[in-house]
Amino acid sequence: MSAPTTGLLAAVTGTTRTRWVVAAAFVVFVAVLPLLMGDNRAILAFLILIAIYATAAQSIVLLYGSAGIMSVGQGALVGVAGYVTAIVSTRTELSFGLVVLLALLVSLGVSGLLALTSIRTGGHYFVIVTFAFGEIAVAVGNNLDHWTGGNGGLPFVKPLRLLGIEFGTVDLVEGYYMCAVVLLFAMALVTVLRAGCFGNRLVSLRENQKLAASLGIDVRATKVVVFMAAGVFTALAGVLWTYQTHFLSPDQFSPASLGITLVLAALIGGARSAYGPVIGAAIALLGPQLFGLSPYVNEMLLGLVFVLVILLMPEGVAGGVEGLASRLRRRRGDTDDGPGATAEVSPVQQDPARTTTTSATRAGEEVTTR
Amino acid sequence: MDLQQLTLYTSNTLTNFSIYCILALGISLVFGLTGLINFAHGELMAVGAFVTYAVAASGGVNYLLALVLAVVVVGGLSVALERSVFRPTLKRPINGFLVSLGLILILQNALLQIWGGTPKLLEPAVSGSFSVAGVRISGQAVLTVVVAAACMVTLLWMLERTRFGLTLRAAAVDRETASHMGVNVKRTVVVVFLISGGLAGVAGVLIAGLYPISPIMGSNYVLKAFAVAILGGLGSVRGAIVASFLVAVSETIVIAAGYVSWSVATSFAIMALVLLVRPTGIFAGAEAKA
Repeated sequence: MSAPTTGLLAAVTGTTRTRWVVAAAFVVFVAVLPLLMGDNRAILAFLILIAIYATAAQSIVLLYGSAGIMSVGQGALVGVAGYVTAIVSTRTELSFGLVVLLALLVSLGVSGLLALTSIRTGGHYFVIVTFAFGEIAVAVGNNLDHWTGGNGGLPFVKPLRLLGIEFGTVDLVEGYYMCAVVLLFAMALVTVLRAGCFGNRLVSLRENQKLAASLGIDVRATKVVVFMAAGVFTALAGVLWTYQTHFLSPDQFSPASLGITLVLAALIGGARSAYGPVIGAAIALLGPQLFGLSPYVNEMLLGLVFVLVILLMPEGVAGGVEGLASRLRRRRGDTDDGPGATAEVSPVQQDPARTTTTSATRAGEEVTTR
Repeated sequence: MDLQQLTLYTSNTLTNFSIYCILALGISLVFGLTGLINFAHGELMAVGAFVTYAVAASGGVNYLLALVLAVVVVGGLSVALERSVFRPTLKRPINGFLVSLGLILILQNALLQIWGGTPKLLEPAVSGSFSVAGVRISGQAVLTVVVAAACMVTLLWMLERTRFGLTLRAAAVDRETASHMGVNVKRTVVVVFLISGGLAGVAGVLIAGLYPISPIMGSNYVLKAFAVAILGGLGSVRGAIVASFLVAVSETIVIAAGYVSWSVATSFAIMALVLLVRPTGIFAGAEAKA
């Protein structure tokens, strides 16, 4: 059983020099981007949306990229946090910090509840449970119209007060930096979570749950914890959504809408890297605009890109680039990046072998239960 | 509640039962054999509904033509998708699920591009209603139930009484072993996608006869169908039939009790509860697969 070992190795991302250089370059890029764009409000609005989507999609990186759990209910969790933010800050005088804390707690609580169902239902069934969870959340949002404004939506225009400074509700550059800081924080957090001991445990869940349990890993507790950790990202995205788009409507967060888009963003970009969702969200939101075709044709093209990425580049764009880079490095005989980088590629090659093992085990289970 | 109202509830329950069942059977068959969760099944159904709009917008005998055409078109589309995008994912069904998410975007927006987003109401094939013992029954509802029942009976007969059904059930239990025993697994998968697509087409035609149709109708129905298929135990045909009846009845009860806006959530709530108590659905384990 060499496959799970390689998988565990793959989680050790290692903070090598190249990674730090890329990270620093990315931070600088994010910081100067609005300066390059000048005063183009349309592009700034897009960048803000990309940052919000990418922040939320970090939860897919943690859940699917590390732990192999697919959820299309993350969009609804963004909505839950968004509504908590909007309702609490309009109806009470709580400070911004407390509102964020409350949104975080509610998001974590709901995530934990959703996770409890994943303990009983595995793999295939769970994807559909998350879909159902999202739909129920939308129905609740539509029905509690006294609080949420129902399907007519909830406008939100309150300015943001932080550390005694009042941020405008219209200045998009301020909005951009607020979103960028949160996105960078989310990316750092997901990288740290994935690299450490916790990340190893998640990978062991993805590779082989029975083996993980036999090694003394509490599979149930880990599932609940990873869902709650993923809830941090949806909560942050929800707060940003409320303060930046100034409008919430339950249908925006349905699994068929935001839920799927987050999965698309994470997987087009690559669900095994914090950069993946940023690339994916940019492709999903900006890509269609470039062609200037009718919105329907744009969406069709996006669907086509997604299908092709899944079939041809299962690790997404970021995974593809990383794989290419490490292949080039190996060809030059450069070993400065250590084993971490090369191991990152190996799960792809191991995939077919791994799935045959797991499906064989699953078939075995079915035979014994009958 | 008077007799007329009771009849209305009963006929609504039966038509919904028919539609959920036809959709869930298609989903369940494909899942039972390949492990694929195909969320684009709802979009296939929408294609069937728009085939009806294209040939039978004014109702009448053309409706039967639409029924045949929808089975051919949607069945063919389903086979084409299997051969092009789903076959490479056979070893990793989760990738098949992700591909189906992309297909939702492609199919839904193709329909929007051609027919636009405004909901369309078609003339019923059987206009008017007839009276039995003083109670009025809609002709279209009767037609819907009859067509659906014919599909269910044919499917059950095919699965349990024919040689193909035997090979299908064998392949569903274990593809590899079945192929060693001489089952042509690839061909079986193609036929199952053909049947599943055909059923989705029929469901689309039936819905078009009853309710307004729109390109975005797929997700709502496909979710209910998944709830039903899971309730019955994915892969179990009899389970799907019983579960769709349970869901249709409970939705009617919720509506009759006055909670119309909650009816959408009913099926999901039932599904979530059942999964928490019995993760493989009501019938899985008690029933042979597929």
